[in-house]
Amino acid sequence: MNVFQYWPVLAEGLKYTLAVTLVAFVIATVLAVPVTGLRVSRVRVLRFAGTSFVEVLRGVPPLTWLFLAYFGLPAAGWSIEPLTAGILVLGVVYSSYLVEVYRAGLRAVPDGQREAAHSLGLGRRVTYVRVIAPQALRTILPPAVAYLIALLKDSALVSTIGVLDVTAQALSIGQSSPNSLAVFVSAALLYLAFSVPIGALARQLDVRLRHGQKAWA
Amino acid sequence: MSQPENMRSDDQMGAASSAFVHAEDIRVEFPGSNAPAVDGITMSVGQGEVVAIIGPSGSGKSTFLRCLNHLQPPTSGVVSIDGVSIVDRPGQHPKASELALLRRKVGMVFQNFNLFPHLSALQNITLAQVHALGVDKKMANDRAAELLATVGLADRANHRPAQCSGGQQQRIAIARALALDPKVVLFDEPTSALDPELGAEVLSVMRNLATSGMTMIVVTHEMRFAEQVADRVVFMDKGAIVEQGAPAEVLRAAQHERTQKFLSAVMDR
Repeated sequence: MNVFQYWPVLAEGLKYTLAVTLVAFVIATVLAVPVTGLRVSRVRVLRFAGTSFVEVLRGVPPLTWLFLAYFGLPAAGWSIEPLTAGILVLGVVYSSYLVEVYRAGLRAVPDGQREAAHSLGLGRRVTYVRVIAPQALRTILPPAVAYLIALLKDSALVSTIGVLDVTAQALSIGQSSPNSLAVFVSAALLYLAFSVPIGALARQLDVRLRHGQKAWA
Repeated sequence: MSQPENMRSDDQMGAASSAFVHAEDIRVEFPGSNAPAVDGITMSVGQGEVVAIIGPSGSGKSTFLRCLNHLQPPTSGVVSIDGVSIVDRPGQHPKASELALLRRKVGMVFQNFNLFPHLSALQNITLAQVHALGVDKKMANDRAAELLATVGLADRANHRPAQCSGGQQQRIAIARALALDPKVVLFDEPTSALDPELGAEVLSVMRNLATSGMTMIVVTHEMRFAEQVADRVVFMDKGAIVEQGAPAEVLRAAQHERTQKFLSAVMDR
């Protein structure tokens, strides 16, 4: 069995897989910033809004969200392209995961850092941007990269609504091929070609950052 | 029974110039605790005066100190520093803009240094100059280099805090506090996290600062420092001032039994 003969077809799908993964990840990382702001707000109503956002999104399977958006929204008079639906749903769902990662990152910065910034007369914005965020980033980075890998794998969900990603392409040729094993092995290898290096990078980051104070030297 | 301490503090106030720092009836109550952490303290500090606050753990001395720059918002009370007054009443606290005015006049040095670990020594000192005072970067750098030199760390400018000893870190923290040209510097147990040798470096920098005429309020367990450098020693217990006066009077001839008991435990060490 020749694994490589299916690669041109799968490579077509790879464009979509990578586009969904990367654009959704950008949406997730950006959207998670204001939602984290709500989640840690001192105002109870805002905090409730942030917590609800996270709980509701995390509490439903991503596949269900995808169907809800792709089949549900048009029924409500809102037509949506499969690719758009896939990217938006995964972006928003993953933002809810990242909110918790960001929140943990903020909490890991000692109170003394905020106190020092306040005692120096720094405003809240400068304190966040110059003091808190750079330190929180070190805690946030490793789990955020782990979520990037999870998102790469979950991007296969968009094949169910008609986006021709790697999994959809593999399905279309693998279903009718005598070599379906080779087709799906190829697809799996294609995912691994990205997830393994990203995972290695995440572990390296984790090891370097976990050395705490030493890592700042 | 409270006669001697009143007389003493009156004397002391007469000796110092006008009340440069004044705290009026500062009270701090934490929810769920039945005794107030700070129980109505009134204290005046003159310009250039060095006050050492001593007392057992849990006596409220750090909490009181933190009220002076509002890192700990008092439940009630008034803090005035060099013409800026901040009033707290239960359920009614000052706006951030008022606090910024107060904090511009007050530098603070923490027990655990609280340097920004991701920034170099120099950047630690320039950050607030640039972002709180709006000083341009070049001037801020010059000022920071000058301050590092005065605390004896000119060669550490580009080192991160983690690359410096604890004593060096605390000296950088002092330079950072001085960069905003504060009118008064608060020290919250500045040597408690240091071994005696490194603590000595920090105390020597503080001595120089006192000699230069800086107004300083120092919460400390360093009795020698209190005796040699402070103009006044304040002994606190259970959120209140028990006794205060010139160092020799308080440390060598304490009037109150509570003070005597505390001192007999710490002076012999």
